[in-house]
Amino acid sequence: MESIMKVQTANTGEEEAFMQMVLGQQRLLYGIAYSYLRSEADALEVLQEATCRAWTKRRSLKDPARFTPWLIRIVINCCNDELKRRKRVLTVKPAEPDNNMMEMRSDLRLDMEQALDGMKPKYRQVLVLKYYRDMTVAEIAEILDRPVGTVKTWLNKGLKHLRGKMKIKEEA
Amino acid sequence: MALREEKLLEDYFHKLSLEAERVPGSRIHANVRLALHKRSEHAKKLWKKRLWTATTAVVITVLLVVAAGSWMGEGTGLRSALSSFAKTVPLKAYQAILTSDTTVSSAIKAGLMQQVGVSSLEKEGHVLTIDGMAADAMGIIILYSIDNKSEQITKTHQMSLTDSKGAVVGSELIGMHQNLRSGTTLNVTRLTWTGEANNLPDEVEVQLELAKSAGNDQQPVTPEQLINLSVPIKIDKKAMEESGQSIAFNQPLTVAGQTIHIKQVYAGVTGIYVETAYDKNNTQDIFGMLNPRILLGDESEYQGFYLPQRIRKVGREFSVFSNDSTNPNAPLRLTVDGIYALEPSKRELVIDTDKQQILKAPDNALTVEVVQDSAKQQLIVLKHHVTDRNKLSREGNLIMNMSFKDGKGEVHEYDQSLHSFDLTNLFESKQEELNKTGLNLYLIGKEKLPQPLTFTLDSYPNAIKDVRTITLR
Repeated sequence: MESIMKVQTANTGEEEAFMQMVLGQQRLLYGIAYSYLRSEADALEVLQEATCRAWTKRRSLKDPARFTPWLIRIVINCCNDELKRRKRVLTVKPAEPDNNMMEMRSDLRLDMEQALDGMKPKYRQVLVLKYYRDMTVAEIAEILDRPVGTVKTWLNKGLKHLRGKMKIKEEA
Repeated sequence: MALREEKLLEDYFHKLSLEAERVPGSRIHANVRLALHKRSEHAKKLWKKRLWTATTAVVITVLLVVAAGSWMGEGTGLRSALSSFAKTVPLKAYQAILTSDTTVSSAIKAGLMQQVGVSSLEKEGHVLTIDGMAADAMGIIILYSIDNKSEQITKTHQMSLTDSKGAVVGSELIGMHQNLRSGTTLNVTRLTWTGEANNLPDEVEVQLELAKSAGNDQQPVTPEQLINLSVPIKIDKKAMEESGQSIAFNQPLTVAGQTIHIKQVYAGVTGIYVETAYDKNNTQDIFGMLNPRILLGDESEYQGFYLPQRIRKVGREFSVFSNDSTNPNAPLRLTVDGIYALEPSKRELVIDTDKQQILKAPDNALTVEVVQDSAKQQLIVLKHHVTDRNKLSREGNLIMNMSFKDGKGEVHEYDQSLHSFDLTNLFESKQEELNKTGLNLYLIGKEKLPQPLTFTLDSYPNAIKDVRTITLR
C-alpha cells in the first residue's frame, strides 16, 4: 500500500494517488454503506461524503498501510451520521423501485432491518463487518482501532440485542 | 453451532450484498470522483450562494474519468448529479452490444469509461443523453442514447465536438447512420481531436445531427431535414494529456526498400495511434501499408488489431488501431505485409473518353467505358480487373485526384457524388462483372472536352509484398 502511494504520488499528484487508493476499495466501501442505508442513492452520497472527509483528514493518517481500515471507519461514521440525521428528520418517501426489480420484503427481513436500525452503532458496525464482510475479530479490531476483547464484547452484545428483538417479535 | 441470529444475519447480509452488486462499478467510481470536485466547488461557490435559487438553472456537473486522470462534464438541466446518474443507461447495457468492439468494451471492463447521464433539451421529440465517456490525448469515446418520442423514423447523421464559436474540435473516426425508431436507441462513437489536446477549449459542445429522411442514403440531407441536439461539457485537458502512454519511437521501418518513419506511438483508451511519414528520398510514392496490424501481447499469445482508420491532424498522418485497455502494458508490435505504391512517373492516367481508350496507365489492369444518361451526362466507368475481388480493399484503393486536365491543359473537376445520375441500369447490366472488377465512377458533365483527359492517381492498388514486423513496446 505504501509503495503504491509513493509511486503514484510521484507520478500523478497527491490527489490522484489518494483517489486511486479510494477507488481500489470502492466496492467494499459501497457495500458497507449500502448495508447500512439500503438505498443506492444514499450509499453513493455517503461514499462521496466519506471520500471528502478522508481527503480533508488525510494528514491525520500516520501509517499509510492502515489506509483501508481508516477509510472503512470513516464510511461507517458517515453512515451513522446519516442514520442519526434520518431520525431527526421525518421524511415522507415515495416507494422506490430498486432498478425496477421490486422485491417482496419478508416480515423477517423487515424485522431484521428494524432490529439493526434500533441497535447501538458500535454493535451494529461489528455485525456488519463480521457478517456482511466476513471479517475476523482481529480485522474488525484493526478497523475500529479497538482491542480484540472490546470487539468480542460488542459482537456478543449485538447478537444479544438481535436475539432479544427477534424473540420479542416471535412472542408477539 | 451457529446461533440462529447468526444464520439470520448471514442470510440477510447475503441478500443485501447481492443487491449492492447490482450497482455498476463505474457508477461508484463516478461518485467517488465527484466527491473531491464537489468539495472544491463548494468552497468556490460559497460566496455565490445568494445567487442560487431553486428555480434558476442548475448546472449538472459530471465527472468523466480518463485513463489516469479525470474529465469534467457539465450540462444544463433541472436535475442533480446523482439523479442524472440514476436515469442514464447503464454501461452494462452498452457492454452487451459491443462484443466486437474491443476498444470500447475493454474501456468499460477496465473501469475507464465513466457513467455520465447528461441530456440535451428535447427537440422534435428527440433527446440525446450522453451515458458514458472516456477520453485521452487523441480522442474521446462517447456512449449515447437517443430517445425518440416522435412517430417518425429518423437516423443519426453526424456527431462532432465544437468550440464556443462553432469550430469543429473533434470529429468522428467512423460515421455511422443508424435508424432511430420510437423508443431509446443506444449508440457508440469514437471521435478524434482535430488539433492538439492542449489547444482544446475548456468547454466543448457535443453536437449530434439527426436526419429526418431515414431510408435513402443516396440523397444528400438538406439543413431543413436536420435535428440538432447538443450537450455542453467541460474538459480537463491536463488529465487528458497525462492519460494513455506516449511512446517516443523514431526508428524507421524499411519495407520493399522504402523507408517509413514511425514518428510517434500513442496507446490510450480511444485506441492505438501510429504516426507514420514516408521518407522524401523513397523511389516509390507510397499510398499506404499492406494489411498493417498491431499485435498486442507476446509471441505465444496475442491479439491482432487490423484495418486501422487513417487520420490527418495538424499535418501529421496517423493509423488508428483498436486497443485493449485491460492489457495496458502488454508488448506491442506492428506488422505489415508490404506497401502499395507507384513510381512517381506512373501516377499519371491518360484517357481518351471519346474513343473510350486508356492511353497511359500504371499497368494493364484498367479498362474504361463512358456511358451517358438521358440528360447526356457523361460518366467515366473505370474498371480495375483483379483476380480476387476480396483483395481490392486490402491491397489499397484506386483514388484519382479530383482535378484533371483536358487536351488543352484546362483544369476541370469531376463529380463523384453521382446523385444526379441514374445508376440502376449500369449496375444491373454489370452485376456479373462486378464480382471480379472494381468499378470507379466519375461524372464529368455534359460538355465535350478536348481530348485526352489527364488524371493523377492519389492512390493505386499496386501491391509490393514484403512482410515486416517491428516492436513498438
